[in-house]
Amino acid sequence: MEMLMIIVVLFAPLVGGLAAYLLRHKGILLSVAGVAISFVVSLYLCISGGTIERSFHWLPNYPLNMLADRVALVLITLVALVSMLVHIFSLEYMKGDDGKNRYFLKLGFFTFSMIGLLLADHLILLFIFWELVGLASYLLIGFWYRKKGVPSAARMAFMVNRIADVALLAGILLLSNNILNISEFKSVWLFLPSILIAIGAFGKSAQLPFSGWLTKAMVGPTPVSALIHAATMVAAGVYLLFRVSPFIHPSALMVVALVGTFTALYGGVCALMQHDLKKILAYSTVSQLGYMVMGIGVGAQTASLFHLFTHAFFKAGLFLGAGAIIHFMHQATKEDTQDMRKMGGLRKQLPWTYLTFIMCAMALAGIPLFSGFMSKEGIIIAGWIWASNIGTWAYLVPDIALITVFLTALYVGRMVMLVFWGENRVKDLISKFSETFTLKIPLIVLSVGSLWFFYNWNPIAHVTWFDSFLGNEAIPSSDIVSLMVTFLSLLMTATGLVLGFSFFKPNSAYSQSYVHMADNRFPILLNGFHLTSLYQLFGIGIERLSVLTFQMDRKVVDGAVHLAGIGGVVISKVFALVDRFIIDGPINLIGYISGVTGKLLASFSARDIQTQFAWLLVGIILILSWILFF
Amino acid sequence: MQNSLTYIFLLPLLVAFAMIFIPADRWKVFRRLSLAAIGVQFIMSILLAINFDQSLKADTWSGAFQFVEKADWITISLGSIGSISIDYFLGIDGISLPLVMLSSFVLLIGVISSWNIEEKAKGYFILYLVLSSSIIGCFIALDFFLFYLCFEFMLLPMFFLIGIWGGDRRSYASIKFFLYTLLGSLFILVVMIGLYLSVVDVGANTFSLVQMLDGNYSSGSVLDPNSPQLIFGYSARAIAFIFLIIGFGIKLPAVPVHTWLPDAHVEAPTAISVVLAGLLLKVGAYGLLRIAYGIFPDAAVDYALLVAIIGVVSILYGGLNALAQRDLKRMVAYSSVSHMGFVLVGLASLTAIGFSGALFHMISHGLISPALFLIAGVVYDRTGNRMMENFSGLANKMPVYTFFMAIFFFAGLGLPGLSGFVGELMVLMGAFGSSQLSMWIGILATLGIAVSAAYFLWTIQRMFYGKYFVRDSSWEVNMFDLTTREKLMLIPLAILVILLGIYPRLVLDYSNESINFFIQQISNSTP
Repeated sequence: MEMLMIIVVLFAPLVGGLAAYLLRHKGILLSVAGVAISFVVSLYLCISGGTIERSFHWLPNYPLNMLADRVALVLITLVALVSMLVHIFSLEYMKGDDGKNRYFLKLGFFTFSMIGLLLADHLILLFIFWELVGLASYLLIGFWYRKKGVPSAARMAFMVNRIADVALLAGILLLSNNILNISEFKSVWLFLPSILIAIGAFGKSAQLPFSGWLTKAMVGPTPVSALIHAATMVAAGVYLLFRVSPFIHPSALMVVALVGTFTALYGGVCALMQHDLKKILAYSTVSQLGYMVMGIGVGAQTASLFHLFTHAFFKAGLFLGAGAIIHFMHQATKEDTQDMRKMGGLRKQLPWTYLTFIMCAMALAGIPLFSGFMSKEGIIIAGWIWASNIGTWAYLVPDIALITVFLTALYVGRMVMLVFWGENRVKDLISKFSETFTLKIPLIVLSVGSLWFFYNWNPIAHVTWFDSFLGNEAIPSSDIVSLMVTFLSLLMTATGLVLGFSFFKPNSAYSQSYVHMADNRFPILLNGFHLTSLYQLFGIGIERLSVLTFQMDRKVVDGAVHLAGIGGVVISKVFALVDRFIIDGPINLIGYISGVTGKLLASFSARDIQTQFAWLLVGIILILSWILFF
Repeated sequence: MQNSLTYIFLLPLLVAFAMIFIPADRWKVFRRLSLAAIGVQFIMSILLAINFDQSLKADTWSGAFQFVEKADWITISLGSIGSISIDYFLGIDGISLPLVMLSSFVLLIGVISSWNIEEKAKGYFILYLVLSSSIIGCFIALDFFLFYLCFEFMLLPMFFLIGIWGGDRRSYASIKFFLYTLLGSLFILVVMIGLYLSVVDVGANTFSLVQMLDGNYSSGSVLDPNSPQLIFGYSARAIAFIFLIIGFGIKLPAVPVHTWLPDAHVEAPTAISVVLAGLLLKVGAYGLLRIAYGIFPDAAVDYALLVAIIGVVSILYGGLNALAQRDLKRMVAYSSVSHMGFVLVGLASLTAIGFSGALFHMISHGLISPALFLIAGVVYDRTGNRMMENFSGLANKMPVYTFFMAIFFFAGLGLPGLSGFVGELMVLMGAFGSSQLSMWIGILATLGIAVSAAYFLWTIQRMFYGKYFVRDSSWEVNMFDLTTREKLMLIPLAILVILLGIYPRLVLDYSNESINFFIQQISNSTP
């Protein structure tokens, strides 16, 4: 029965998507229903508890395990919920798009693959779904494939992930050929497979140096960004690291912590100077994923997973809010704009969006009474304790994390000010726009999910039911450390918000001149330290290499073949000459000699019968005399 | 099921013979007859699969084959030297059965793809049927001489099919193809004669592959493993193995003896590309597996690293070359080189999973590459042009075509859920698990999956995404979506590619016992 339920959870979104695709416009609600079924059943399974395990022989004598334990079920419920909300939101968002049945099929396919990924216990099975979510991401980024820049963004996302996946697959296969079920591992892995698997996770979770693809991926439809590139798929790397973290080699774990830390800083710095609303959110996602990865590295696995969970709510809420804004801008200006220089003062037109956006933004900034505060604290506290065990230099990790808290508050403040406050920077804006139910409901659900009481009644606690539910011990922390970190991070947040407000408030100098701000201010930050250009350079390098190998194929390999061919012809010509003059020569000579002798002899024979008769007589006489006298 | 292999083998040949007596101006008859012949062949191969005993466990190779047919064929007395006796000896095991199924299926697709051949149809279809018989013959022959005969006999029809019905540079391509493969055959011929002189069956020398696999050498003969003979300081068995690697490597094709393939593919008509990529390359791989690895396991162990390196170089070099192409068909041709490299790596691993992977990859590539050539053929049929820069945004204009393209491109780049992934995964598992190979072989081979993604995605971006555009406005009228005939070919291929990707045991259950036995034989013969 439970197995049947798991199958329903897994396949309902896919079936719904197929129905939407095949039945055209009538079936689109079916795709929502599919995800809703998946959500309800997974919620039931999650509450009823228990672990469901099943193995099946995909290859002969090679069982693949799937395992639905509490971690998996909680995250599946999360994925199904966010996916359902995104489906609902898309009903309105994609209303006018003629490819929307294709869109819902792809969304359903993504949800299916993501749930499969969470269910996988065997690393190969995980890799299978890992690739499938990558495909879904590629297809959805490239959904508007006619638009300029979209195809290359989709390809870059896939290729960057694929390169990281090479590392992942090699890492998995380096482990062992027999036991690859995560739940059956006993001992710590060697360094090489550990780091390769971590690199695979970095790719999917957009950690440095793979972060560039995520910001490029923002050309996809915004609800897709909310689902795939904020809440669920990019968290798959964190999920993988969470699962395998007990077996990762300690040195590799340290690399994980450092990469996460610097990614958090990188995302925070880059988010500061963006004009594109979605790009701010993308860099913010990179930064938050950095926190989670850092959390895994410093041994705060549960806290990381908790942050993954809370982040899914508030970031999906922010992205859907951005979606509502873009949808509004699209209707108001008749063009696709995500540029904040054309926004401003939107709180009047979009009151519900404003409210929910603010709530989610507060959660992101890490203000008490919101979930983001609770989950982020846990990670930073763990980082502090980790650093105290390792050495002085290791305090870099929690310090950078705290600086990033400041940066987060700063860019959140800037974003909210520039989008919602002040006056609208586009003059002839049509203000008639109603936030329909299908837009509002997802926003409300996600923003309420970002409130504190969901997790613990105490708004500044960093230990929640999440820890006990997963059966994990919370990290033992002395109260003094946790108090200090809480104090420091509150200070950082407050400074960030205050500074943000005073810099970017409606009548500030920045805000006044913002509409005319040129693209080339702070180009390094705007372009994310030119990470994508670096990828392109790498791609061009590979392309040059490929041209080189092709020339080699033509000139060297084929050249050798042609040379052999020409050589063969030359040799055969030589043989033909030899044949004619050396082998045929003597034979011709013999023939010639015999011809000449024959002619000579023939010349003796006279022309008339009398002479011949005379010669005959001479002959006979000679023969007779020879017989007689000898 | 008596003599069913003979029917499968000789039916096309018989029909081809009958066609000689049909006047050439009734050209429609030929394609119908061909379809019927190959169709019957396909149905019989399905019956074969149904009646095949998957769980047959063998002790020796002589007990490993099913549906065995054996008859004396040619006996020539050579006076005091002895006599040459050649048998008509057929049989299949779990390794050849999937290949027989694949062959009859791909040949059927090939007939449908040839449907629009009107020019000199009589000659075309007679040659096609002769080709069909000889391909199947290669997979079921258990007599080396019969195998060699079929192997050589594939050459002639192919030579004419490319040389007469091909593209602009057809004569260059066909001669190149012919000379290349002929050279390879010579190497195989030498080994065949060596084996004949060394292997005995009840006292007399024999061409029987089964006896060769079982290792019934007469003591003191050239290739007897117990009394190693040296030729120029090298063991005769090692030389024989290397000769087979060269001979079958040309057919495979392995870098650096691969350059006939892009030319042959580019110039061949679509149907012939389909058969060439789908089946002829598999004959090379099958020869390596059955003959080189089956008969010379000791040398295979010694030269595992060499074969693996050739494989890895093929994967990466072929992939990079594919990335450099501007001609869609040439790109697909080089991707074949890259993919067949995985087969070499799988064989070199000398593990059960690597061998299974190699076999599965052969089957999967035998489905994917014909489909890719059909995909390339669609554009070429409509416009007479295949250069990528001449097309853009086809997804907009030809959605169904784009859909199938996506399936096969992603299958080609090894996306899980499609058959290409399974073979590559198993090969890599074999490579990493092999005691013969260092892990760097595995890591480098894994890089191949990134390279294949690079050229397939690049092609999608250039030809299918973006704004709709074709170079020549006169092509505009022809840019319609897939016709029924094209769908008829692509749909079954797509179904199989997906089915095998989700449930690879459709093939692996057949081959499992045979491959385990194979590996066991290898480990027995190499203490």
